[in-house]
Amino acid sequence: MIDIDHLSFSRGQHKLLDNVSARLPAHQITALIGPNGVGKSTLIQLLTAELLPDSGSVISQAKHVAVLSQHNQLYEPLTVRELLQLSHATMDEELIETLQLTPLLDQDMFDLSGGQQQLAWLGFVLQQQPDLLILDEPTTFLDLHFQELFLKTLQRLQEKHQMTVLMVLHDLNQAFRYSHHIWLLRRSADLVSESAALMHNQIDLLSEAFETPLQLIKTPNQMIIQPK
Amino acid sequence: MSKYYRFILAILVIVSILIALVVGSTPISLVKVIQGNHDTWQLIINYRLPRILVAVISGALIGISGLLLQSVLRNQLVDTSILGIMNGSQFLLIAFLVFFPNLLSSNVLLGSFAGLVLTAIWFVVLPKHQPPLRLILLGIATAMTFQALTNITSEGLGVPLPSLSTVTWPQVMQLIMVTIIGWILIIFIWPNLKYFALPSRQVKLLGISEEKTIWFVLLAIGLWTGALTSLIGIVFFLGAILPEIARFMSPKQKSQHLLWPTALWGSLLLLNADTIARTVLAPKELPTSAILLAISGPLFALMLIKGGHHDRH
Repeated sequence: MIDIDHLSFSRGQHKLLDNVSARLPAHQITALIGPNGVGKSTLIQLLTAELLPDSGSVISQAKHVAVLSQHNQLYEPLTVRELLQLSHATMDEELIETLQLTPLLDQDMFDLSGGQQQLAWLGFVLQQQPDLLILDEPTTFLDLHFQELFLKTLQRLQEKHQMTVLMVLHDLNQAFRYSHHIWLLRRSADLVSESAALMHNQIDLLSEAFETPLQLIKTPNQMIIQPK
Repeated sequence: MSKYYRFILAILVIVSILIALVVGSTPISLVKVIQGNHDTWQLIINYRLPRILVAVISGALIGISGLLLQSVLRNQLVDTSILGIMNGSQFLLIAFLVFFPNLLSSNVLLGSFAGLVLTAIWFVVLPKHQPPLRLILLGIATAMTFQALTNITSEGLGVPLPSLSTVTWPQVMQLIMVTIIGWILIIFIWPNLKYFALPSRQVKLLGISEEKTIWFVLLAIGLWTGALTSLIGIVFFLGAILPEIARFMSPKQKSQHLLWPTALWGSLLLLNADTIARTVLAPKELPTSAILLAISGPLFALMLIKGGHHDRH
């Protein structure tokens, strides 16, 4: 879906990306992980052409890109319905039902919980029928219930519409559970691109990247990453 | 509620106009008006009516400018005075008049041109993505600087500053003309204004040009502000508090729906402040802007304490 070709980007003296090449697999969910301040949001802005690289290029086949941030501020009192109508004049009833927004349509966005607001915003971006959806820490401000609801719903809709999804996640277990592919951005300003299944076993690589000793706990039906 | 509320506001404006027509340093008896007394009608038509019209139109324009500016800058604490647009266009007009004194008769059009130029420069020069309070301080610094330059030029070269007491019919016509031109600019980008409810990034991703919309709004505001400042002078904070009054009266309304109430509140406040200014100590006349500031200053302070609408959430 997106090809990154020898991409470099610096902020001041600080090199965030050094000659990075990678491919974002189409019709899959890719989780972008990496320690704080490593430049995950910057990489996203380079992918959406909000920032221009120092050198190298981003070749995108996406026709419509939608982006959802961790916190989306509204500047006018809008109801959920009014918000959704700003992204597309006719509302996708099925989508709204899936996101459990139907009973909330006429409520003021400001009166909703953080989790409900984020689901409404997911509706807002999905109504644009993007072929590439980028989510920047979409679950940071949500409680556990809404984190799971959000990611499960996203997974279902991705499968149904065959979107390409790139999302930044902090919780490694969530990242592995809900994605097919992993992009690991490291302090050495390079990017490791690997399928989730392969990356999962490289616990030393992850420990080093996050500067924390990690261990992999295998149970009969899942694998859990934990700090040692 | 909303239907009656606008209706009541409109009635209040009309009543205020009628009161303003008859009270003043020369009281007018209704009997003489009805009898068709020539001098009385002369007084009303040549002196009181133009002044009243300017107050009504300017009040509405100050309110609408504030509302639109707050909307496109996503900052509910700004208006044309706070950002220095009023002081700036006043200074620019006076500077023009120093060089072209024979243009004094079309000072309203010249003023609107000054407003246009100043707003365009302002938009290019001033960094827009500032934290709300920082933008306000920057604006006030700009306003104070222009205020000083205006005082120096006006006192030093003897160019008179505008006052509502000298308004003439040609000036009223010029103001109406500028009002209409500004409206045409606004109507052009009206459908885009609703997107300013969203964060800037989302608007861009929807493929809507924010920049173009902001330009049109600022040019209209520049025209209006320059024109009305050339007639009534500087009115500080009024444009910031009028939308807030309208929001307070009908909470949960979007900006586009607050246009009429904001305009009507503006007319009501400015007209009555002017009526008070020319009647309480008649025949001595008080400065209208000082009376307004005595109301708008404390209200703006209250607004800051309460925090902007979107800060609360």
